[in-house]
Amino acid sequence: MKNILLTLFLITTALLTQDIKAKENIPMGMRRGSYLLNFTFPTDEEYSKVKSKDDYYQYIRSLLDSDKIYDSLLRYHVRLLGIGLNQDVIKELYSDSIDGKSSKIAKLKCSQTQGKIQCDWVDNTGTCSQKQPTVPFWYEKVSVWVCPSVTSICGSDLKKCFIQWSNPLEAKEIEFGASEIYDSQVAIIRSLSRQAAGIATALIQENYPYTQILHPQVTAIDAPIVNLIHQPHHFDFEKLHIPNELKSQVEKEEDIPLKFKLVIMDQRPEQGGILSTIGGLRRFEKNRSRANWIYNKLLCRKFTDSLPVVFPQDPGNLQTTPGCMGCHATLDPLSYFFSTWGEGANLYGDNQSTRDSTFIGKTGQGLTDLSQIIKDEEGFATCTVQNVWEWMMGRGFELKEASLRDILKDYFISTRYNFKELIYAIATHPNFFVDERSDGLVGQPLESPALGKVPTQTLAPCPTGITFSKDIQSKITLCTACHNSSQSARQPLETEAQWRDLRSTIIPIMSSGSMPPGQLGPPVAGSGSVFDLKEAVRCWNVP
Amino acid sequence: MRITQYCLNFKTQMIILFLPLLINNCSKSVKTQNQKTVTSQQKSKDVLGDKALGAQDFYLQQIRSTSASLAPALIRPDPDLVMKNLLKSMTPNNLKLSKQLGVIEKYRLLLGGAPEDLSTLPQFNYDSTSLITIQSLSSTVCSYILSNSLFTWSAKDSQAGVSYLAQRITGLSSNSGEFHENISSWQALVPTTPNSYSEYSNLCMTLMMDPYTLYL
Repeated sequence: MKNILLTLFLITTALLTQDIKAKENIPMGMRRGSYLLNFTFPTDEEYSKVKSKDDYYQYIRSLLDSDKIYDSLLRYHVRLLGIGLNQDVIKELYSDSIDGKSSKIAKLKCSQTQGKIQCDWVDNTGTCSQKQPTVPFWYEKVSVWVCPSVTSICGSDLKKCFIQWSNPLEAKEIEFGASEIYDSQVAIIRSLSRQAAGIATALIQENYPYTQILHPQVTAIDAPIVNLIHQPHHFDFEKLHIPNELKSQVEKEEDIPLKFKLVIMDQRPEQGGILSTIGGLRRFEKNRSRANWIYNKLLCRKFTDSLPVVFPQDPGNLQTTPGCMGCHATLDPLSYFFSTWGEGANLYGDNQSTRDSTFIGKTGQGLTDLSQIIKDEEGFATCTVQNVWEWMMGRGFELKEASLRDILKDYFISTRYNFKELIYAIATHPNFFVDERSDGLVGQPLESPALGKVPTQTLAPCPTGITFSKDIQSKITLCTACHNSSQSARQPLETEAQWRDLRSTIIPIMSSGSMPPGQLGPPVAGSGSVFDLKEAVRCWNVP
Repeated sequence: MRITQYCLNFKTQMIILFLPLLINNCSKSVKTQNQKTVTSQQKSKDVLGDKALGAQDFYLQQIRSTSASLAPALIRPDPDLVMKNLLKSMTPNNLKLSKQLGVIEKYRLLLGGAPEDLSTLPQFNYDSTSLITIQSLSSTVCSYILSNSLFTWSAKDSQAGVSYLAQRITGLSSNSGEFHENISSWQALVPTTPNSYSEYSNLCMTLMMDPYTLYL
């Protein structure tokens, strides 16, 4: 009886504590990975090529290297950062400085009539008897028919003018460069609203560390933004705070950037990478809302789920009033970093004065300081891991998955915040290609870690079972050209015994980049065979 | 004659005289373009510093050996993009497609897509509205796909047609167990000897409502 009870207890315990033991299903992983990363499904040919786990890893790598990853990264960041703008916002940006009117002459209405795309002045002035074809900046595969007065003002590619498409609904979902259809209002609003997502996407595509999304000198432009900057007669650049170097770069730009591309600006204290795009700032009326957005999206933390039912009439200083201070003691100082930017429609006014503030125990003034504080916070790396995990897995981390989150965070930091590597690590985790699906409800969610920890690059943990014959021998040719028995001046490094005896000397020499000769510095991860050999020797569990 | 000769000579002389200048100018333009790219990349590198590092196999092995406790959740394909991507992946990109995308745009919110200002995220699950919308929208999308795609199979070859449409719309491998389990029921939706692609309409609409398509 005792034995039966013990067996039952053990079975129950095992059932309660076991990790999932779902079966591996590579096609399911391919299908999900392909949709998430490239918005496509694998073809039969692709399925037939993937026969092993290694093939699967290569398949995921090919999705990450594909051009189609751009749309996926952009959409991920649009959804994460949630930056959108109402169409009316564009009217706030019109300039009336030339003639006191915001409705300028350089507006064209384009439509498809009689099988041709034709563009005319909106107010029907400047009509002509014979229109001429010209290639518009938004689609080089088509000719647009216009009067000579149009090209003389708008330029031969019409870039300097505001384009209205006859049916804005058709223009709404058209990606730039994919169709004859273009509408400046729709396109510019969309680009401004997702400029922060564009910065992140362009940085990832250029393989810069993900922390640089907060770099104060970085921004990104795409074709509709170029179209905007080419229209000083329509838009008030003073309002938009468009720096001169950005204008001059756009002037020099010969190719129209179909996708967001990076632009480096001069440093200004009010700039903070994705924190300071006009679209992002304009979306929020108040600096507190902006602060809440950062706290939630970049650090995965919430101030409160529910506001008090009854607000005190005169609460005084919210940062010290009981019931309010729990949130406001952090929220308000965080919002002060935005003080240089005006709130609501005052965003377009002159820069306001800066204000000293503190966040996570560090002081600063503008967004440049705030972005540095966030970059130096380990919680930013952890939050990015959580966000990418949720995107790929469709659920958050469970309490029992703390070590998995930690090691993914360490890997992210250790690859110098390589965002694509983080996706790769998750998409090639066995849990991504199991044959089961859960309902996504996480019973005991893993909480976001406390803030205030500086990220450190840790040594990669060693896998078990590293042996000389399996993992080292094939790599030692890097050394044996000089370190062989025929070279009496050097210690031979040809046998397992020789490597075992000299292992403790070899590791620091290789780690410093002194050996093999010709290194430009310490070998870093992903740099090639020297790093791989050094790591194999480091992790070799010497018998 | 002499004048012509002189002219020819003059032309030749001029060409010889200006050729190096022309060549120089052309190469300068190429150089300037390249230099501009290099300068811009260099400026980015100067300001942004080192690039991110590559894969670290030891770390990856460690990650893969750290277990998860819960299977991945079913994911609903992005309602803002699912119909758009289906049209784009199966039909040629032209003005007609652009106009078709404009037609389905008005259904986006009913599908559970994000509002224009993205103030709320797209829906993660299907509700009755989004399912009914897919049901009615699939008719529009299927009739467009079937009349505009450049299929490599003949409409009369129902086996090839069913297999192709099922693979492209559900994304399942045609060698998979799930595919084989369902193929006979999918085939029943198409006449034995169809005369035109439009006769695949019932199949196409059913596939769009298939659980494999609705969730990943």
